[in-house]
Amino acid sequence: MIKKFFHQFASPKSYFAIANKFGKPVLAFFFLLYIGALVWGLFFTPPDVVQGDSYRIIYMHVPASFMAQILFVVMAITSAVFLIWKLKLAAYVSKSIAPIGAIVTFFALFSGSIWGIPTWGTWWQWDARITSTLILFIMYLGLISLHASFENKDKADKFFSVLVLIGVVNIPVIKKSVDWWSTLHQSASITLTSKPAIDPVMLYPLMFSIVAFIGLIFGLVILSSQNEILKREKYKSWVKNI
Amino acid sequence: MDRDILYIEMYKLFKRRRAWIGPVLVFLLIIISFPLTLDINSDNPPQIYLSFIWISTLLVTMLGTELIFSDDFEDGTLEQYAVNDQLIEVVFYKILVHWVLIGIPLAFVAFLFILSLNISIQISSIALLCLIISNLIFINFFSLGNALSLKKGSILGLLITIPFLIPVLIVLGKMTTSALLGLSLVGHLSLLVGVMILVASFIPFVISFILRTHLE
Repeated sequence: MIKKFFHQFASPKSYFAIANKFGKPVLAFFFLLYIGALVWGLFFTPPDVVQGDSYRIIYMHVPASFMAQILFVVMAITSAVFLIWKLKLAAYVSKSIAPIGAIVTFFALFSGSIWGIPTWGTWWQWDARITSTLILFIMYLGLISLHASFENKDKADKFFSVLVLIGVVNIPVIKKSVDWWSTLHQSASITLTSKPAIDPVMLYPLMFSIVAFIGLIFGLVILSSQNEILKREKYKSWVKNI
Repeated sequence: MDRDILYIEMYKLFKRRRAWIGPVLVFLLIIISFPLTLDINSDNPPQIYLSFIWISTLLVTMLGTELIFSDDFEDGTLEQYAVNDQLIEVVFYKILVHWVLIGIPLAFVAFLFILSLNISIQISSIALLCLIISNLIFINFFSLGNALSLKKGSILGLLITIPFLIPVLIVLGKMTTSALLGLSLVGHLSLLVGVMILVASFIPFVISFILRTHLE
């Protein structure tokens, strides 16, 4: 029974039907939730002692930087599923994650830069986290351009998946190696990790915003994968009948 | 393992002189341009030159492996090997041959340059060793990039593979700083050797998978 469910769900047709039914309501729900989290964070929390009001960008920056890495891992899982079980749906999903991941990573970098100006006095610092996020951003762009450069999309899916799997092995390695490198070159005054523990008054809206942002991004992934299915299967009869 | 394939690959690359002398000469030109653009007699720390050397070997090995698969792909040689189920061996030997004819000469040219900077012989020989090891890693990854971007131009391959090589560059940079400070390098060197073994034994399989997909 479970096997039958998976077989059904894994076909692009039934996935599309399910996503069509639930995708937009889920997206709308998490969008409103995220707006709620932002309102809570921006208007109903006290200002920070050291950073004043500027810390409030945390409610956008932290979810984005978190998702930037989670999306790559999700992409690696779907790619592995595609390579192992040859499920086309998994390839469509991982292809549609890449642009969203690139945008989220860019947003994380951008909001970090904005946050850096009032708190650190500089918009860019070559420290471990920022550099590894920038490399992640470039990896997303490379994956997108790899997929776009092949006319034969079935081939492109395979190459894309192989590269994502190599990339996901590389992510912790990059993180670790950049850590070594920065510990030598830079004092620990400006790393995010050494910040004092966050107060519950700010922690709850932060958790709330992270959860809402995860839902929001996965809603977007569902919509974008629907788009990808329509594009790739446009000659199938079920797509023509929609 | 079929030894003949190794001889054939060696002969093929050796006959195309431009393919392996060219990168070395380009590297020499790049190295000549360092003293022209940076005042070599001032007190710049030697690390600057070493990091230039890492980055320029990275780029020149990329140039050197640009045509590693494309010629054999065009004339159907790779397809023959794929039919005979010898693709992995060919990939492995091609990488080996490129390392011997491009990677190691580059390392020695860089070694001569480092010696000319009045850097001590210990540090220079460590740098030589690092370059020989890291060139194999670079060539493996650039072969992967070139296999992915067959007939698409090498910019795509570079864009994809350089992020994977950043950890190696970081280890190299860390090694130079420790070497100049007089610290022990055994840890870094063994890490580099480990990465080399891992990469050199794993990447040929990925490349042969990619080439097989191309040939489908």
